[in-house]
Amino acid sequence: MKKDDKESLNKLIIQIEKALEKNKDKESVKESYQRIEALKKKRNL
Amino acid sequence: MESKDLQPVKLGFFQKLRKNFYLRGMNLKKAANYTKLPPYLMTNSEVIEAVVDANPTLINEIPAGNIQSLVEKNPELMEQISSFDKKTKIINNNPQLGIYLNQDELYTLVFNRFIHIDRSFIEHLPPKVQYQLLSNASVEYKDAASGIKTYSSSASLHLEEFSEDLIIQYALAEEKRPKTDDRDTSKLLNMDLTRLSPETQMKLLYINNKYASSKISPEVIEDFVGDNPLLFDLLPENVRKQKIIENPSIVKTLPKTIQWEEYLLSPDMHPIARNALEYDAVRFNIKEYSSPEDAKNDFIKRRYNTRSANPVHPYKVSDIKNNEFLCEMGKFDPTFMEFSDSCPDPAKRNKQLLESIQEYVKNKNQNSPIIPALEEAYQKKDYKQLNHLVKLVMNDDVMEKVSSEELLDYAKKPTHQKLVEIIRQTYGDKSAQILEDRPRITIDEIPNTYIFHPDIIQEFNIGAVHATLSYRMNASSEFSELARYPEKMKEYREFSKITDGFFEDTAIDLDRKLVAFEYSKELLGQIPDVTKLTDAQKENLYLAINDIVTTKEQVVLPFPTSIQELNTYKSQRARIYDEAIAKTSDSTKIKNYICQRFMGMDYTREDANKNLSENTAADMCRFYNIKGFVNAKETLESGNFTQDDLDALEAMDIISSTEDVPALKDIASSLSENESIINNTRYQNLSRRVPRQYAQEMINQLISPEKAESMLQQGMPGISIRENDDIKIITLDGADFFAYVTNPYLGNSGLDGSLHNIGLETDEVDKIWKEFENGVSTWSGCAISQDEAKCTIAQNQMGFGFSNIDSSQIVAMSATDARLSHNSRELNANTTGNFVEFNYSSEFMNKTAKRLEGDDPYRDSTHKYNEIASQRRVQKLSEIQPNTYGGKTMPDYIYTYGKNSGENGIQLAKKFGLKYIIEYNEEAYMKRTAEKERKEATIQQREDSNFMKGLKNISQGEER
Repeated sequence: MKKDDKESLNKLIIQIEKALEKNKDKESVKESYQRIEALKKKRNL
Repeated sequence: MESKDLQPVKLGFFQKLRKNFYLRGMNLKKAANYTKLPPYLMTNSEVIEAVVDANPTLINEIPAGNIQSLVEKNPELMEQISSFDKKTKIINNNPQLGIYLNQDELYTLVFNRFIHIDRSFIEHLPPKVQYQLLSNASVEYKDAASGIKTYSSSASLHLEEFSEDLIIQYALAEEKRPKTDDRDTSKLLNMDLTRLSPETQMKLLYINNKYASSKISPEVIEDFVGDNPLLFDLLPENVRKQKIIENPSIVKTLPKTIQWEEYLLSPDMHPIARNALEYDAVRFNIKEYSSPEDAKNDFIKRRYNTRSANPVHPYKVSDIKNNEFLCEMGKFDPTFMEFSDSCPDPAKRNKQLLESIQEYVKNKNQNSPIIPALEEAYQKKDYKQLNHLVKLVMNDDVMEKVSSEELLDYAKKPTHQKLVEIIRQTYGDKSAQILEDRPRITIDEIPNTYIFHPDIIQEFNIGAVHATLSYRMNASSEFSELARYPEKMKEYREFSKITDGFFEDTAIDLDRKLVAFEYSKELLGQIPDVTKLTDAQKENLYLAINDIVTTKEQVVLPFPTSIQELNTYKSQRARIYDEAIAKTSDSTKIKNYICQRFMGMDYTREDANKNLSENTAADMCRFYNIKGFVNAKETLESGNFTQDDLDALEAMDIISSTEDVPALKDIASSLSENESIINNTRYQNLSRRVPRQYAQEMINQLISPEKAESMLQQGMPGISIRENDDIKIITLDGADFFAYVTNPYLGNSGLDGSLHNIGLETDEVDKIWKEFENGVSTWSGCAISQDEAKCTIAQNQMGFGFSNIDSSQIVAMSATDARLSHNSRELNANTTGNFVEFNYSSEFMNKTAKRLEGDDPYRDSTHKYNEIASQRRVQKLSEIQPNTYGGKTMPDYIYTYGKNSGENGIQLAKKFGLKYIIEYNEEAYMKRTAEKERKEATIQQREDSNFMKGLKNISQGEER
């Protein structure tokens, strides 16, 4: 993966996390949020 | 509120005395005499108040004109009023008193439109009561005016009588309410929403787009939709049609469902709009094009976008007056000049075809014997001969290099060898070799003889030419163009340079690339040096190309045809998607827009046929079990995927599994903040690599003759070998193994259109397998192992075993039937339903066992085995070698179910040039299973016995 691709993936993950964080209290969003949060942490973002 | 009481009468002296006397010591008894009072006292407010205070039921005796202020002062008196008419009048004067009605009275005033009353009182009812009115699908009550039992439905409510704020709150609450099924919808959907203000109607559309299909003002929907093609399907049908008539080119950006389902056959549709329809197979009418170039360009796009497995058939050419135009189309694709009786107005059309071809031949040679021969065949209605001639004659190179006599000889008595010689004379040995490698192909399966042109072989490779012979492809027409027009070939080379790395070396991507080229031509024609495009322009071009070839559900923006359109492509596209996402209430649609906008692929498609070669994100997550894949040991240890690859897949799976609409909208708006997130090739690339990874792991486990020999050399038990007539027969006598086997099925459009299976006893079985041309593009086999050997090869039967197959050929796996549609000459593999599920080999076999034994919803008693489907031919075009029948995959060994490899097996192996037979010794495996079960039973027995001993000890202990 090119450097640009890596950065765009990082941004993709950060932005999804940011959006799901707003909705994390909803039962239907809980699992998605936990997964993206874990992904973000794993990538040290 | 203004009082509606009668004006008080001024009392005289004695009248006052009498009043005071009556009021003094007022009690129940005195109050009961109220009706005997003279009128001047009965209407006196002091008297009325005192009487009602003493006995509230007497309110019914008080003249109507004197009740209003009394009730307003003490609203609970409403409950004492027995006259519904009186109550109606009171509420008409003061709507806020509506809350004191009982249920029957309330329903009567709400639903009985014969009662004249200002129903704004509804707006003043407590929200809970209004909610109840809105949410009851139907109510039963006793009409307070007539006394009759009545039924009414919420559909008859007049919504303007409710508080609009409350309606919005109600609509929002309805969105959150858990629904029992699809029929359990908001009651507002059945009501007349036009009664609400345009602002409220607009708010409802934002809350749920389904309100557009209820009674709502068309003007409001039009405002809501604006010029956004993604919202176009919300418009009422008549408005949609009108808009298309006004601006026909809009059709190109509409969802396919609208394009073909509603407008294709509409007689009042504007002809240009009809032509713009991507799915219009029958109505393709080249007379409406200004030049052959336009017609060809549109035909290529149309055929690529068709969902049908059948090719687009250009029947409707009978009105073309210009024969040159027709002949040009015939060179581009000979089906344009196909003689047939099954087209509209065949007599007229066939006559015109004959005249066009004769005129064309005359221009080359006034005295050509082909001219009378065409006439003769036409008189005899020998369409087969005519069509054969058309394919040869419409090739200028053939006409130049091959004598008319030879061509006529072939048309009258066609043989494969004669055709090979015609191609050899025209294009040389290398081209003829391609045809020699396809000994059973006839001119009927050759889409266009220009495909054999040396320039095509040089620019592409022999694999690409073979592909056009194997599958129905756009490439055949495009090859004709590139071969005939050197300047077009030059343009193609330029296009190829700037799209380097964008397309794979497969037939599917060859077709995608050529379609993308056709779309890009107009734009690239305006750019003097394409290599000087800026990075941003290139990025926009790739985005547009990907939109055309990948996001098949709907292309929201026409392909850029000028530099200006190219420069603004990304921002225009973003605007359309962002606006649509903000206005869309359906989670699947939002996911579609997110995936298209940022990931360059559809999330899902309306089509029930799922194209496994071009997966959607939803199918990818489901069919490839992405959640399991990214964490699987096999994936991580393979070294084929970087952590970035896996994280990208996980991110996609997270979006895919999110259903909450506001959360999805937040995701979209969050992603829109950064346009550099867009990566239109990442997921396309992964969608191909993931199934290949599963397939490769499986292939690595497959038993092969070499592996079996190695097992024997290592002295492994449960496997033996013997040799007979130079064929090595390996018997699996209980050893662990994993194999991929199939029976020789060709599909129901196989040889001669009749054979479903090649009989293994058939003399030419090997030749048929290698050479057949009309069968389906895929075969379905089964994965078997020591624990699960049920497959399509029944006991004591033989089949083919594979161990050396390329992972790109495996298109589907399923622990049950994969529901693959095996169509003849189909380029893409398609499935229906959700039965495809790729897994790593061990998990795949576990699931196979569970599916067959457990209580699985997909259990199917007619399919007691799993399915792994493969393409019959090598997929990488550059790897298709001469003498391989166009990349046909050959078995690696003969497989027999049961220890029964007799003379037939040996002969079969020899026919295929194979050295090995692998036998499955069923008895040995039955014995192995029995032994295993016996051991398990013994262990269980021992455990039970120990348990019982323990119990005994405990009970003895208790006794002590």
